Amino acid sequence: MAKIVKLLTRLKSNSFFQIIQRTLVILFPFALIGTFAQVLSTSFLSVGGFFGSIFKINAWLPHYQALRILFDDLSQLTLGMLTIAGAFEAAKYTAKYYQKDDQMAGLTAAICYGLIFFHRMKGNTVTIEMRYYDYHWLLVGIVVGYLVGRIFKRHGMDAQQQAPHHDLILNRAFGALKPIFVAVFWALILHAVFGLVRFYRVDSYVLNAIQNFTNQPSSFTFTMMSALLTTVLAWFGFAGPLAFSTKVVETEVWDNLSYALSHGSSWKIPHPYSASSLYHSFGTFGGTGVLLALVIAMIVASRNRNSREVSQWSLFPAIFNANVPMMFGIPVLLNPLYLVPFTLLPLFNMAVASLFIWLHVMPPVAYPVPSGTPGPLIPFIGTNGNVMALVIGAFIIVLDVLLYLPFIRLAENVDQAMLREGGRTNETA
Amino acid sequence: MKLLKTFFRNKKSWLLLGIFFGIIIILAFPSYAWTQSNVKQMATRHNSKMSPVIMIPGSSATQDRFDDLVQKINQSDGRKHSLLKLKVMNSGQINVTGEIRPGDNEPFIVVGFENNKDGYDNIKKEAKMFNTAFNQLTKKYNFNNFKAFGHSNGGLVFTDFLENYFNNDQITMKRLMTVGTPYNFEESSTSRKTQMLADFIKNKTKIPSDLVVYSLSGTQNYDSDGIVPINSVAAGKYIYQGQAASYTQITVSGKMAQHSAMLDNPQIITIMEQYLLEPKAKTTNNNRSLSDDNPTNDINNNTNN
Repeated sequence: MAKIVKLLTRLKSNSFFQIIQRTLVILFPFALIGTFAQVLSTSFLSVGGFFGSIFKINAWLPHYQALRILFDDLSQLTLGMLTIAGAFEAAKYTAKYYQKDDQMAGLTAAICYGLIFFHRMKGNTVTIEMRYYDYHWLLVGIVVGYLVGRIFKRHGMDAQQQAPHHDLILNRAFGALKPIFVAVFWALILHAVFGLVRFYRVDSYVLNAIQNFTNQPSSFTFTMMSALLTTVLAWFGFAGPLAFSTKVVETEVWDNLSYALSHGSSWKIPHPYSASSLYHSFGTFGGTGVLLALVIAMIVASRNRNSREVSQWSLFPAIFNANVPMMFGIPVLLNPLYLVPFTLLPLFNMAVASLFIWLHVMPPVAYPVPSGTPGPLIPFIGTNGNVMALVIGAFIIVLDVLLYLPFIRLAENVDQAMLREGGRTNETA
Repeated sequence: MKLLKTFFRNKKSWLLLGIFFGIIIILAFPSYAWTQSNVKQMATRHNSKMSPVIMIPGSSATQDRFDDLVQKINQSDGRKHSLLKLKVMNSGQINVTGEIRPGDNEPFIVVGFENNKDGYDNIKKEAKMFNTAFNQLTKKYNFNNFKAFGHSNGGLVFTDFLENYFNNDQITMKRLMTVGTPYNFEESSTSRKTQMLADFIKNKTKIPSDLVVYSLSGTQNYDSDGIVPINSVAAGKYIYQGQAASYTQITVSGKMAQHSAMLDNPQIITIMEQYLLEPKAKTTNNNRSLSDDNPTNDINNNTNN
């Protein structure tokens, strides 16, 4: 135990890791606002969402669609632009770490990141693909920001402490010209390279390869493997194979539903252990990584006031399976402390659920579930209201809370160890 | 273990878990009601054996246009299809006459419009109104598949409906038969495409790839049925050929091949019985699954041409 704490403490003191952590935490408020808007839009204000369908939102709330678009726009401009902001912050912290002009570095990084992925697509209309700017690509944004910060370290002027004065600001601008040119030069090269990648559709091949990974008949082992790949990728921020639905998955879902509808129950459906039904019904309570359990465990057991506050704010979205606030606020994203439970607890849940299905304690999930349904209710609705499914869902979430507890303790021990070291490497803020 | 003890000794943990599970249990009740009614509705649709024939008359014709035709079909195949007629008023109100006999798996449903004028603008309006009527029908009768029959402009309304409105993964349009439908209006040359044909061709990918299409044309002389040029009917190939599962053109000639007389033509009735309606022997066996790759039970149509 002491050895693990020591290792993790050293890892956490690493400058790049510190920059990641600070970037994530400073983005937390925006992640939070964006996620609240997203939850309101998908779960409450859309006809296919949980509250939307169960309380028939379209029947009594006038202009619910206009409201939904409003919240959609808000989440697009917060969650959807988070990586640009991430590049800014990462560069700012890196430059500050090396006592360089942090504002200039931040702005340069934001522009460079935007530039790398900014391609006008030819076709019917001019469109710019926004997906490279949303929070899934944050890791790439942080790396770009870090590199821009390093460019400023090499070519930039040292930061001046005097009060801002017109001449000094200009001086500062000219001083930053060289690193800006260097950074933009590299960004343009990457822009061209990535443009070629897109021109030859390499990016869609890669995306298809990830999607096609799950495009095969399901078996228990295969289900677990694709779930693991999904959670590991999610730890890095990227969307994994189970985030997409593929042809085989769709066929299996239809086969299951069709069988259940003609036989009146889902007990003997042809694909009881399909990846999509197991993973989405039991592995994503509170979003990827069963973060609803972490939220509850944090609120109850954490000794750290900040972590508790972050968790209290994250509780509402986590109930509706939106985990971004926890990913940023704790942070869980790219955090080795939570790698193990984040990637393995979903698999644990799926295994427990499979066991109960195999023992015929509850039927497998086959019926449609509205999006944004609170975690433990997903198996309940997906089995057309089987009470055992509800009980098992609740049982699993309690298990998850208990399993997260030791990791919270571990994180706190690492924090204390770092405090004791006096935060020697900690002068980046 | 010490962890667990402190966790369970903490009053706050009990309170929080209590509130959380309280909310879950409260929400479980409406969730239960929702999933029960949702699944029931889906099951009714999925297990429904009804496969109606939905018909749209041409311009200037009313919902009574097919009365004789349906009567003749009933006389000839002895299956007593019921006839339900809807008239969509300009106000959006829908007037219903006739009814579907309980247990009738293949009723005829005619949808007519108060505003039944000719022209592309009106086709678009009718397609929108038809969509409203169609949604009402699917809610009430819960069928999971249907056949479509359009005379003259009625075929245009179905085409517009398929391309711009029909998007339902629970309901399949199995077969579409159009009779004397002017896909290029009065143009006799396909090199001059009307706006409507151009739009239909542009949006053709929306047409279901499992749909079986028959386009019937009449020839009174060598180039038209008296009203619609045969080339305008044939222009349907630019929309359906290669997109639908199959597209078959049938030309009828002779005395009763005039545009409006075709609905009384015994040959047309035979073709409808053969290609559009369910084959007699198989009517008891049309419990199709939702993901059926081969939507047609009809052995006579050439799916892989």
